[in-house]
Amino acid sequence: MATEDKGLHYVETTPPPIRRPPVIELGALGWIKRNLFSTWYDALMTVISVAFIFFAARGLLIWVVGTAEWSVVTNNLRLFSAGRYPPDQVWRVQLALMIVTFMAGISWGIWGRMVRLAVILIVVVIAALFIMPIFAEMLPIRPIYTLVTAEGETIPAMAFVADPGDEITFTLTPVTDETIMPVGFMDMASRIAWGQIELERNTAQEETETPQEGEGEDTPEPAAPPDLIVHVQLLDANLELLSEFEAPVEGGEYSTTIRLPDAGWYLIVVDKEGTAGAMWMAMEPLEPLKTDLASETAREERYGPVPEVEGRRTRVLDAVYLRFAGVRTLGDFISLHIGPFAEALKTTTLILFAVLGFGYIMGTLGKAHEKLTKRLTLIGWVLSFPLVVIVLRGFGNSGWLPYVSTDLWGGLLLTLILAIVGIVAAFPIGVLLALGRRSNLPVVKIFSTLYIELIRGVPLVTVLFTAQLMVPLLDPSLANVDNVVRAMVGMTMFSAAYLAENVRGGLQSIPKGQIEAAKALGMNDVLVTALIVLPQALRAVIPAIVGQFIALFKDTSLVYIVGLLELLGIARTTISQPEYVGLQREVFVFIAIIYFVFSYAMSEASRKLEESGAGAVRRR
Amino acid sequence: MSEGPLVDELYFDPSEDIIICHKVNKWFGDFHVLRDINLIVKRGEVVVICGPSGSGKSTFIRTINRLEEHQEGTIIVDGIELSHDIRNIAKIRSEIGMVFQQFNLFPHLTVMQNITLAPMWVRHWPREKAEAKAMELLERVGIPEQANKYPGQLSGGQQQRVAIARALAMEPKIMLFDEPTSALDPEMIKEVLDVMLELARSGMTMIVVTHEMGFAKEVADRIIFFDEGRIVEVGTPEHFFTNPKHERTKLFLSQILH
Repeated sequence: MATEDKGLHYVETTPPPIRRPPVIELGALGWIKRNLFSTWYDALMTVISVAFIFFAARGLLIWVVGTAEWSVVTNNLRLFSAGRYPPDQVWRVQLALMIVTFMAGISWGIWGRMVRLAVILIVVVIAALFIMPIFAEMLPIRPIYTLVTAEGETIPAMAFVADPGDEITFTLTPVTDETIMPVGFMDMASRIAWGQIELERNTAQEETETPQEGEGEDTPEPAAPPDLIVHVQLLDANLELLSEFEAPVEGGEYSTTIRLPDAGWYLIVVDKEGTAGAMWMAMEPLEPLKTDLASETAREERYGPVPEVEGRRTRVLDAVYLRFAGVRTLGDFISLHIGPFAEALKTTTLILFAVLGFGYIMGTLGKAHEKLTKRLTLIGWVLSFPLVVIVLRGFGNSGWLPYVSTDLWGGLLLTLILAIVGIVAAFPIGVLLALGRRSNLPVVKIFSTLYIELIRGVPLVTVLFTAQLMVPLLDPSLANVDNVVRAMVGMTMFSAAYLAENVRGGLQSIPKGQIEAAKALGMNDVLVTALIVLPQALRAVIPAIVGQFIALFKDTSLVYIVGLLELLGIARTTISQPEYVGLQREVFVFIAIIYFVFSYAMSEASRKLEESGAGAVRRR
Repeated sequence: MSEGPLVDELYFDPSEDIIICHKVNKWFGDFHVLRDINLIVKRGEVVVICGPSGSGKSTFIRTINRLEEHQEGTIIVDGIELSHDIRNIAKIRSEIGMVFQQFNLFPHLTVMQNITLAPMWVRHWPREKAEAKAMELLERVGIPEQANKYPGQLSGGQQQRVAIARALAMEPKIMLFDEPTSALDPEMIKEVLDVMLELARSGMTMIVVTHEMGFAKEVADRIIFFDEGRIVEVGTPEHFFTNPKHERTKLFLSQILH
């Protein structure tokens, strides 16, 4: 081909083919280089971030798996979910939840698409709920320990239950200078005593390392030689002696296995002789008994009342008396916490997923008569709210749905109700206020502006207090209004003002031409607003509105100040129970997770909403 | 012409004259935008308004459906005087279709919904009737296949044709065009003008603000030249293009016709 042909006026005679864009294969290493280490400061940032994430995650993981005492969560799930709602009526909370879940399922079926991620998530959760308890059962259980010291107080008689054929192995190990704390369940007295021993050991070590100057003046007296003898008796429910043994501290490790003949309660009575020394006594296989109401009732039915010996306190070897001590392994974590947690949630969650699936199928089937189903679903949603309130609140003293005062509603139940009512009520009020603020009618405009600025100028807490304390002063008849309702009104009023400002921003973003075009078609102001301005304005500010909803959801935690026990209030109540003292971290991390899950779900839903329908293509 | 009712000293015939403007004045703040505008438009007449920018021509046609309020003078549209009475305004607006320079389609609605919205909510037509009418109009403007798209998916020319269909769906007696081709790419101007041409020939009363002199020459019954808020020259296209009287008109024509 002659190159001189390709001059300034050269045009290809055959048009170049239309091709797909070239695919650039990077590969994993290429990707890493390009995205993480492309410049020296990128590399620096990557290294710093990864190091930070690593240390934070490692610390958190060690705490979550190794030391955190999650039983406070598992044992109080009912409190967290429904507060002080009467335990025998909790089925009503579940029924209410099922109603809402069913409606959600139908809506998903008719409006939504099958989201693969959601399905996978559900399957994983179900699988975990089934597998985890089984897995937990398979894992070995750590022994129960008690520390017997010569100087210590009398050890209470320890009660446990057994079935015929069960065996129990006692292992007594003398405490020497090298003994470390065993990993397993132990009572508080043993922990404290062990802490004492460790303290003494440390001070003794320090003294030998830094010998004092005036040597020989006050050399500590050499400790008395350990002479402890532990005497253990095993009694049955009728306090008859079944077996007994003695273990002297000089005898080294002592182990014995006793077969338990009958089903019922047994008591371990420990006596001791001597002036010095200590021994760890391990008992296995023995599990701390559950302390929830249902388990306790079942136990009493099956094994009868707890026997007691005279002249000595009797303690049941249960989850309140015993705590896990020492750093757990992952296996311990699963068998101790994940298993029971999954077990506790299993039934409810499975039922809810079943209801959700049923609703989804109904919704999908309803697509044959799409218009009708959609209309019925909307009516269903509208009706479901009073229905839920009726189910939860009940009426009179009827045997079927006895009245449950809203003062008893609490936990996640109250949080969700406050948030949902707040969102549903605040939205229309906020829209009206936003329109009012832009109105041409001076009175409406001034009222809206005043309301918005006034509410935005005060903290939510003051609004809640006003609703709670000052409203009755306005009119005595308002004093009878329910506390929960007052909190709802306060939250709604507060959120409406913020929503109004968000919506106003959206209204301002609508070009004047839109309104002119609608007016030129003969639409009146109401039609222009409802059909042209609001749909566009609201869509434009979905992120801000949902942000406000999320804020409202989290702000429900402030109502504990006016005495309502929503999720945070319940958390504070829980950790004030004596058996859960010192477990604030576990409880707060747990409720933080709950708040996060709901908030994230809302923000995810808003993103879907933005992308849906005309949103994707609406503007050029 | 028989003598009809009297507005001040202005005689008009209600059976023939559909728009009557008498001594219309308007100010934006202190700025006098419209100065004593007098104009009578007959049924079926096509009036083209031209003039330099800022001369008040857009403002004038917007006073006819009261998107702008005039402060002095009288405007009578199809026998109804424009006043503060809200019912009058709604009634008159539903008789007048308007097409804007920037199309002003509703971006959150499909083409079909854009067209059927007003007939269904203002005229209270059943959906079937509104959609049948919409399809008929989309055929007429040549884009029936775009019915279910959103405005953002259409070209400028297509959007403006949808806007014309949307205005026609209300079965107006008068159509106002406010520089309908000014925002279009040159290649798309013709498709819109063709639709307007067809409309003019079907006997629609039209007032068109435009700089498309070819269009004016072809279909206008009268051409009105605006300058500094007043009508400087009125005449048939022949008179307007060949024998303009006013110096300003001559200057304008010399600028746009090379």
